[in-house]
Amino acid sequence: MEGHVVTTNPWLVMAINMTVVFGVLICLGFLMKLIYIIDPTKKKPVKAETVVPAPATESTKSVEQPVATSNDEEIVAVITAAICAMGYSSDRIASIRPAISNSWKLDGRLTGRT
Amino acid sequence: MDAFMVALNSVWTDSGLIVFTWGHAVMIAVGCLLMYMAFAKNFEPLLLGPIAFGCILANLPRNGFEEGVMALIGAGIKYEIFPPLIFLGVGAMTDFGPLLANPKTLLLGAAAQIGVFVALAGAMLLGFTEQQAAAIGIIGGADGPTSIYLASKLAPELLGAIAVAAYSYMSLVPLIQPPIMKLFTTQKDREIVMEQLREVSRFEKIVFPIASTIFISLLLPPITSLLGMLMLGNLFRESGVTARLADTSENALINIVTIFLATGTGLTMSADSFLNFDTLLIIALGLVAFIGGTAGGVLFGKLMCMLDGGKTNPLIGSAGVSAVPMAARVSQVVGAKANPSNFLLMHAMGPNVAGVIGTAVAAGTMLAMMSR
Repeated sequence: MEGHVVTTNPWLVMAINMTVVFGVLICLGFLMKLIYIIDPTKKKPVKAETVVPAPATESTKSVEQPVATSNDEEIVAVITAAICAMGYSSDRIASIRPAISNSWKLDGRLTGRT
Repeated sequence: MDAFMVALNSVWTDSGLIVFTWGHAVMIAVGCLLMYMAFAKNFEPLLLGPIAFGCILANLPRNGFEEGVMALIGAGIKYEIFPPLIFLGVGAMTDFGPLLANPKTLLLGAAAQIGVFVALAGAMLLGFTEQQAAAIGIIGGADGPTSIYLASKLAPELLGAIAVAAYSYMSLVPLIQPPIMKLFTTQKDREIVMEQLREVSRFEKIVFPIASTIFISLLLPPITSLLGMLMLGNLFRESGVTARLADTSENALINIVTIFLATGTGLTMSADSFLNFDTLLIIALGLVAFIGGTAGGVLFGKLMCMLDGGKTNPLIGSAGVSAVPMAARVSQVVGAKANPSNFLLMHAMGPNVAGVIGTAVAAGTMLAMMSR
């Protein structure tokens, strides 16, 4: 059977193939970035100004202080609502901060892999 | 009594013993050795086991494999049916999340393909044809189905040796890679702790397999079936509404096809095609390909580490040789030895799955350049 071999120079074959592999995978990287950019479900990053506490009542003050460090109002609001739903006053919340843990291990435990 | 003797003579003249050669005996011994490695030493037993038994079956003379189920299994390899089906299951088991979260690790998957092309150049210099050299080189991709796919298209006469070399070296990844990884990295490199990856949305995970299939298949049509099945399996997994299809793909189907693919590969290992000097050269070149791929990935990881101010642990580069997930596990183990609090597994999964795509792309490029 006759082939349509482009070149018989081993080094040239190597160079062409590596260039194509790198080229295709770099384009794929751009494709991934594009998918990330157009993702309509992406969570929008919260701007720093939005977490500056507004004049607040006694009860919200204690909640908003840690928000400046966690930078996520939504999570604080959800946690506060959940605590209130359990029958506790939001006044009792001293701070909300992420637990210090190895999240990879936690992920492993949650998915039952470890 | 005469009738008895005639019947006995007929059984003897029709038996395989009358045409049994030393070559068959050697290949049966090779089959037994592979079986020992698979079952006693636990070297890829799911694959080497049926390959070894297929090898023994293929070297029993007058086996009548020209028809029946064995002919059908042979056709599954000859007509490239099994490797894409294996890829369907691989896709259903693959999480592209770490790659989507850190797309630059695609470059590590590309860099690790250097082993493929070093072996390809070496094979051409040793006198193999361009097609045979390409099929031998892909062993460095550490991807069994792609190796079989390419060999059956470009060099079917070398299929048995290539498959055995590919699967043997894949099982030896934990032994081959660590010394090379340590050779090209310092203790400080190995201790680097990488930042946690961002969360990848369901939208990204669903759109990626579709978009990448369209993009790569338009560019490299010869690998459409291989890549398409990989991404279809992944869609089953990520869609969230086809759990039954994903479950079948990653369990029942892949197990059934593995039996056929591995046995069929063993059936290609007949004495006349396997017992020659080329087989030894292929096994040696396969090792060169593996070492080259590991070194390429680690060195590129080191380059990335220098460019991004020490954020990338070069050890994850070695996972670019595919061998999912074993190569990623090796990165994790070597990294954890240098720094017990280091957890590189998910970071290494990025180049690892990029390596699968990279090897398929390398195969597609070589098919486009060298198809018969």
